[in-house]
Amino acid sequence: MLERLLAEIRLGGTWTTAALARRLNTSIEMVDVMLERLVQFGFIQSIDPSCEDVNCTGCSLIGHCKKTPQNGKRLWTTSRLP
Amino acid sequence: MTACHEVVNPDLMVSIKDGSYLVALAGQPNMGKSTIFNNLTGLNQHVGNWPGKTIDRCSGQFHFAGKEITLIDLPGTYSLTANSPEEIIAREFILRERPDVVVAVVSAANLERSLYLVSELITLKAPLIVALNMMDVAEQEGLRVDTDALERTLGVPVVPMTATRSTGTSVLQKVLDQTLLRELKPNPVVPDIRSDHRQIVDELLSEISGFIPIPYPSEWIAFKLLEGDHEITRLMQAQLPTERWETVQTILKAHEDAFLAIVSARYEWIEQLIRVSVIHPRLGQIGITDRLDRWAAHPFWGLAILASILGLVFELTFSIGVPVQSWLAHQLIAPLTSSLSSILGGAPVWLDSQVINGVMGGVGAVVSFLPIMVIFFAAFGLLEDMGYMARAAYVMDNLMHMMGLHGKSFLPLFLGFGCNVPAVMGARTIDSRPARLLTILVAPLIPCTARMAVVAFLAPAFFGSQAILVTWGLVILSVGMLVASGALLNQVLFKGQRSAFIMEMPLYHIPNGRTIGLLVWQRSLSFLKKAGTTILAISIGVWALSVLPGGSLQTSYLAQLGHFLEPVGRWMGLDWRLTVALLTSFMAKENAVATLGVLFGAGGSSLAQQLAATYSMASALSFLTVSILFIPCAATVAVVRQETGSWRWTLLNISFMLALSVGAASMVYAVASRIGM
Repeated sequence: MLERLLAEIRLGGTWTTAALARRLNTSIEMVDVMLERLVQFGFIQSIDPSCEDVNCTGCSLIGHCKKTPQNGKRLWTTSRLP
Repeated sequence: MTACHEVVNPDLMVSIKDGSYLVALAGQPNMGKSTIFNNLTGLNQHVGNWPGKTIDRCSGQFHFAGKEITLIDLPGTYSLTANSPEEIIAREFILRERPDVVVAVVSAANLERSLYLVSELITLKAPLIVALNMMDVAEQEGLRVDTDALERTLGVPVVPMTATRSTGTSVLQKVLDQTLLRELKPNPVVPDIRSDHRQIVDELLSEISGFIPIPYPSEWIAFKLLEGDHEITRLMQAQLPTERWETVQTILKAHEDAFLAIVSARYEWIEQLIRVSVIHPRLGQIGITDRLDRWAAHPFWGLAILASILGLVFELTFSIGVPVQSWLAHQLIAPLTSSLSSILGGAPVWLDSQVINGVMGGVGAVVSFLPIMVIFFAAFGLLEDMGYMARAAYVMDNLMHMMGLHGKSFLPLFLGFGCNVPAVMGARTIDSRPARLLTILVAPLIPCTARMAVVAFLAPAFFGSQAILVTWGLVILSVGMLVASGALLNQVLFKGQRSAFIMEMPLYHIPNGRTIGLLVWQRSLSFLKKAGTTILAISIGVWALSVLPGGSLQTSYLAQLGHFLEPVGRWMGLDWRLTVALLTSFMAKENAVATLGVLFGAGGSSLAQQLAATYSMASALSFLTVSILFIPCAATVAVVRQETGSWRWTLLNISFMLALSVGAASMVYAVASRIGM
């Protein structure tokens, strides 16, 4: 299961957890826990788009950008695939 | 297995009386383990520390069916691999103390996550009972768990529970009693690995058998060695003769990927259990999301929907925002300007000029396009709140991947809608420094809200009913530039290398009016605050430069600067005023409008009318093109400096954007002039 997930990720491209779940014929929750395991192994990394450490003085969207566009949802990218 | 003995383990300090039983409570954190422990033991508890650790060790006694049971609440663990002290304590306790029963507490609402520990516990010798807790939460989430099917497939007793309501506690006690009396005949189904990896396990077993210390099960040790468990590796290295250890190491090195197969087999096992025992809801919110995403996240239709939504936002902006903006300019800004002019009738000329031309011309012009911003904020707030924005980013990125672009160079797209600052910061995830630097170079090409607002203000003034098409074209141009730059990056730096993005999509839901209202209010307030600070300061500065030294605009410092830059502006069909307006947009994009307000001595819709009367459509189109592609604002430049750690790269970024915007605008002007615009 985890190996099949890795094989899909190795193909590259943009995936949603729902699309991966469809490909693996499993649930989104299952994909979710396997992604966490891949993060633990260091194969993928989760991305935190927070920009709180930046001085955004002068921007009319100050303080709101961290909510956009993923609206608090998680995002991962590959880091060291086996 | 019956604990009819007095045991004091020097390591784990468990003392149980003769005739009593030892039961361990295992589970991941937040599965309700402590509640079950409290329900079973009541006040008969003892809290201490595990020897040599600062981790709480809770033990308690209870009596059931004439038996005294000592219950140990093991630390919350996600697995039995030595990743943390908690995991080492839990597994050492189960292996060394050999409890009569292990009760694994899992959440019925999240079996995917909580069954992983069970996949490891079930391979150990201790009899296992699964306490299926949080049945109420599962029910609330619409999940139906078939306990009997789960029990049959697992081959061990499963007890449904809602510990917070003490539901299932008596059944657990009964099953525990039956297990202790060996009345139940469990037949645990353990995860198995592929046959090729089974061969490796056997190979390892043949090397280590005879050297495995009591009480560790041999196959468990083999699996842990393949998983790279450092505690077990150290243990076996100490146990095995050097030559034998070297052989084991050779096997492990040759099969470094075996751990993946082992973990994969556990997930396969979990998947099978869930498939037979859990019915996931596909109705309601999730069902709607699935159905909508067939269109909204489709590679082609998703893009068509995105283009239509953008068109609708522009249409709303122009059909509602522009008339309101015009009303605001005529009914509020103009009367306020007249009143101020009357009040300042006797004041020095410079003060009158500063307030009327500097403050009202600049800030007034910017404030008058608040209605346009409000519509932008409301539209994007609505799309964000109902969960659409993540789909927009997904279909755009999908398109770029289809064009063969490298994923990581387009991460900024996910983060850059609305503001270029997070777009630049998105490049942090790129490992290669050259690729990261060049990604930072192109990230500011994502059209930000402030740029779009300037375009939304000026496009209707210049192009009337064609404003939607022009705005659309400008967004496509900007994204096109991003795609072209990304494609170049991919060819030069990544050489077709593949990487992936995975994103969690929010569920669609009915937008909350209060949330959107609050968002619009906060953003509008931020915008007005900016108008009253940055834009006000720039407006006064621009006014000062427009009247000094002699009081005439034509001979002012600003005019001198504008005339100096005019040759470049001329390539794009811009006069010195438009060129200067462009320059001031560096501090904040809205300053372009503020500066034009100062230079034309007008705010709001009268400014729009004056601009339309002054410039040809070719010049206007060129100005909008250069504005949308122009160098990023000061905040973005500061982040570029921070992320690159170099002024050289920051200046290169500015130069790149400058060359690109001037080049594109010059071409647009040349073509537009040729076709008679």
